[in-house]
Amino acid sequence: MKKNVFKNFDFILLGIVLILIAFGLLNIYSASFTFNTPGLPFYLKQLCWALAGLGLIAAIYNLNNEIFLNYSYYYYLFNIILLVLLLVLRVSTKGSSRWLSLGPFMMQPSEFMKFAVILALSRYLMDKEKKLKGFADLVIPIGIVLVPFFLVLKQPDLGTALAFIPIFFISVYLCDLPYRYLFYLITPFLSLLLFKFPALWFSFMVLLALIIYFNKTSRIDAWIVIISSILSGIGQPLLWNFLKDYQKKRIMIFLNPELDPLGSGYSVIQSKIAVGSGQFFGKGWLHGSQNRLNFIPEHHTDFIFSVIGEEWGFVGGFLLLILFFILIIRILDIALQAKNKFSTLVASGISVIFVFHIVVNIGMSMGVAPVVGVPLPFLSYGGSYLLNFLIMIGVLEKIKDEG
Amino acid sequence: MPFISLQTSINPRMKEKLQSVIFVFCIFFIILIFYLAYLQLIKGKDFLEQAKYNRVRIAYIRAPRGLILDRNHKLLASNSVGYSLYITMEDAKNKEAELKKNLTKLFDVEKENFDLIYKNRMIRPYQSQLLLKNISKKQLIIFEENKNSLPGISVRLEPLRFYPSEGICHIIGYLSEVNESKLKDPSGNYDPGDLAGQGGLEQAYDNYLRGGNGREEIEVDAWGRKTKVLAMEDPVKGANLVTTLDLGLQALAEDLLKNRKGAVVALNPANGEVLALVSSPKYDPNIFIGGVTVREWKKLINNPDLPLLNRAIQGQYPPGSTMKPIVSVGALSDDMDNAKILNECTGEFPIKDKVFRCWKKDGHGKVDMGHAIRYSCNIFFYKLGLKLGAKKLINIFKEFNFGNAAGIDIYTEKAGLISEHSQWFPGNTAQLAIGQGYILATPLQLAIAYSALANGGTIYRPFMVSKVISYDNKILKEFAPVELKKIDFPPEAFNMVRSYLWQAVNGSGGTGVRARIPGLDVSGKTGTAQLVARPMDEEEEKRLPAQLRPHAWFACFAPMKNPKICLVILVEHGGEGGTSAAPIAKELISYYLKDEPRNFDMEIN
Repeated sequence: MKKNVFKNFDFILLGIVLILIAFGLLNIYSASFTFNTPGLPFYLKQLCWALAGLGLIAAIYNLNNEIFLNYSYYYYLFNIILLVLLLVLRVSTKGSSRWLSLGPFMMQPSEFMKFAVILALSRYLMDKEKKLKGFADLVIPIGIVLVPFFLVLKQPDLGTALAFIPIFFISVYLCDLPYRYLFYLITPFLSLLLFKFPALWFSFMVLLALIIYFNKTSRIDAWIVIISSILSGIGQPLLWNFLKDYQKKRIMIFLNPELDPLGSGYSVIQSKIAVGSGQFFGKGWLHGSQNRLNFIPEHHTDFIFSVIGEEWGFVGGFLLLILFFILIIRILDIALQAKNKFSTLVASGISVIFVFHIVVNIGMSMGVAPVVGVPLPFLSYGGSYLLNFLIMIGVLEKIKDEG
Repeated sequence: MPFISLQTSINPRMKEKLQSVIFVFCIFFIILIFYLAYLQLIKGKDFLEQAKYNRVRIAYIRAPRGLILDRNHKLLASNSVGYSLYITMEDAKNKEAELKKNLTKLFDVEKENFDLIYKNRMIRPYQSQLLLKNISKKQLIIFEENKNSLPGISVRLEPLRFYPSEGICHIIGYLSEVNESKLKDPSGNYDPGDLAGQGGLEQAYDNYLRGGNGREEIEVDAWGRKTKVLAMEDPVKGANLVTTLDLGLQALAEDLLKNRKGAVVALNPANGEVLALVSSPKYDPNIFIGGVTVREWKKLINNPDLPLLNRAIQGQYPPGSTMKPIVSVGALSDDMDNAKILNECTGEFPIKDKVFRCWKKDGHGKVDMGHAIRYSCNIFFYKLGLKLGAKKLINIFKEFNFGNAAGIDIYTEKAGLISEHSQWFPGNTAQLAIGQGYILATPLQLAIAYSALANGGTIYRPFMVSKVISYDNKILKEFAPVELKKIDFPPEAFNMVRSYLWQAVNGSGGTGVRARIPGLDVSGKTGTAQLVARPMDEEEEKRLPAQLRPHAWFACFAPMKNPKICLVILVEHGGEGGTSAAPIAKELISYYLKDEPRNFDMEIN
């Protein structure tokens, strides 16, 4: 057995991850070499986290095959408890309580929650003998997502909370939830968005009624859809009030960054300038003026892509996206080859988490997605998210190994 | 190893679905790549410009402005340093209301000023903006004591223009920040934020005074902090002006006009140098330094005494009897025998149905030209005027440059007025001969004309700057006197009128007796310019409201031989020229010619 330990090991996957981490270290160095922070510089801290993460991959690779299947719910519950604890303790930094202090380290339980949601959802949907036919079958999956969603939203961390949503959709989609139900699930949101335009909203509601009428939908589900859509439409102003001021502002400024060129829109505009000014070949490592002169806040964490775009140009950005794309394809390939439904669901969930982070983060840096603060996998500075992503890589290798 | 394998163990339906997921992800990545290409390859140049604009600032290093000196190199304008309060809105964030309250309480900052800066906070939040210029020592202490309740306020040491003497305000002008139109003017070569002269010498010689700005191209970080200097160019100090003014004379004239409205012009009749040019009331030119506040400006422009008006070159007045010597020179050049005419003055002179009067009710009896000037007899000149005719009178005035701006080297000089009616009535002509009616002149014009009387007929362009010298004492430019024209009247005519003017001051019964200085041979003529018809008696004169009282003039030169100073004094609504203007001339001449050897040769009769 020892001989064949790496027989199925996906070296391409790990290789890409290592390249990304190395590239990340270069950029974190560039982003922070002008900083005057006490203690270890950011790139060295990141290196420590990466090494710890690689250790975790090795550990996971040596775990029993069944362990994730068996401990899915426990892992989920453990993370939920951490999130609740966090809200109770209210350890607050930077206006939100995302961090849990563990001795010398600060950890972000919401990051680990991402994988926990994947595990719990996959575990539940795998168990289901019957197919998903109606809302009744969705109560628990929705619950699995919404509990952490609200806990994280309360911190408040809109970006991380939103990350749970696509996991849910890909999981129920793969488990054959009828397409019309996927539509029903988003009707309350569409209703919410359209309520401002009465004519549109009315036509939308008529269309919805027709779809329900011509598709086999149980009477209860039909009422649920109709009533929830109407309620969310009418309740839209209330829901708007539920958002924090800074979140409202971010949404509005995302729609039009020029609204506030020196306030909330500032980062987006500066980040766009940084990325755009990189042109084809970039300004060279350590030579991005936008980066070096600190025109972009958080450019070593959430806005790391602005550094990459500025210093490595289109060449660097394009190659990075290609690397990410290969990574995603590898993950989906693992999903396709997994030996059971649970593993397929887990791998697919991981792929969608990756895509969500990449699209939202890079989109945000280019000014086409709201500034919600999600890291760019393996490139942004940060310990908790990096560990979580490396754990997921470890699990993928394990799935590949068992497949 | 292929990136994606086709054989799979999962059910075909899920496989199909995963493949459509791959397809959707593919689309996401393609969109990202295209948008990245759009930003970097299509819009890249624009963003590169913006990145450069973000980080590169051009800081102007202002050149110290040149000094303005009087003829003895005493300072008229210099540079000093002062403290100014600056505000950085970013540092005052969320505390604006409190800040505004404290500022108005502690410093009397004008609300409008603060509101304007507050409105612009989003445009320049990190840049400090001027709030209060040139604060006093007391205010500096107040600031230091209350620093903590004044977020975003900082104090800076700045070079400031300084005018040691207030009396020169009308000559010197002031400085203000260049406006948009001047910045756009390519010949101007001004940089944003530069100070440019407004009015007076500061404006006329701005190109010499301001020197050349140096510039420093610096790189700044997101907070506007300087990170490094990219390029540097040293400033060139402004050049100094040496004027023809005599600060002592100027200050004395200013002092003598204190609490009166009026003007003093002193010229060197031999070349047109301006020795003193005073307008009263004055204002403090230092209030304009660093930008005049709204309140101060309103106070200045709403003052009924018009302190901003430079009466010496902009005030246009009827010259009155000071014109009699001018008319006389003209009449003599026409016919020297005009000096011998005897005209009977009975105190009244009817022309058609109107009666014109002499100032002396009972009349002067039979007078010739010399006595008519000495006593300032009107009737003689009415008759002389009628004899010469309007056309000749007007030509005489024009010969002496009346009705023309002489082109003094500061702006806003007025040309006075000679009205050429097509239809003249004899009454108008008679009035013209005594400097009333359709003629207006500035004190400067009168001084130019009297200089011509003094020097035998040369009209010089009056000028105030003799030399421009660089900061290291190299002469950059010298201004020579400019002869505008030579009056084509015979020297005998001038000589004769000069002797009459000497008599008017030194002869018995002369109206200018109050300007007499033994041994200095002051020659001059009084003028009492009527604004309304001459009062019938003293009673009526006393009842005349102050703003309708006549203007008092005195125009003179001294010494008679080889004159060194020509003086014109105007006191608005001062009444008799001989009473209120002549004594001022006496003081000024005594001061200016204090070292002049006295000469007692001339006989007083």
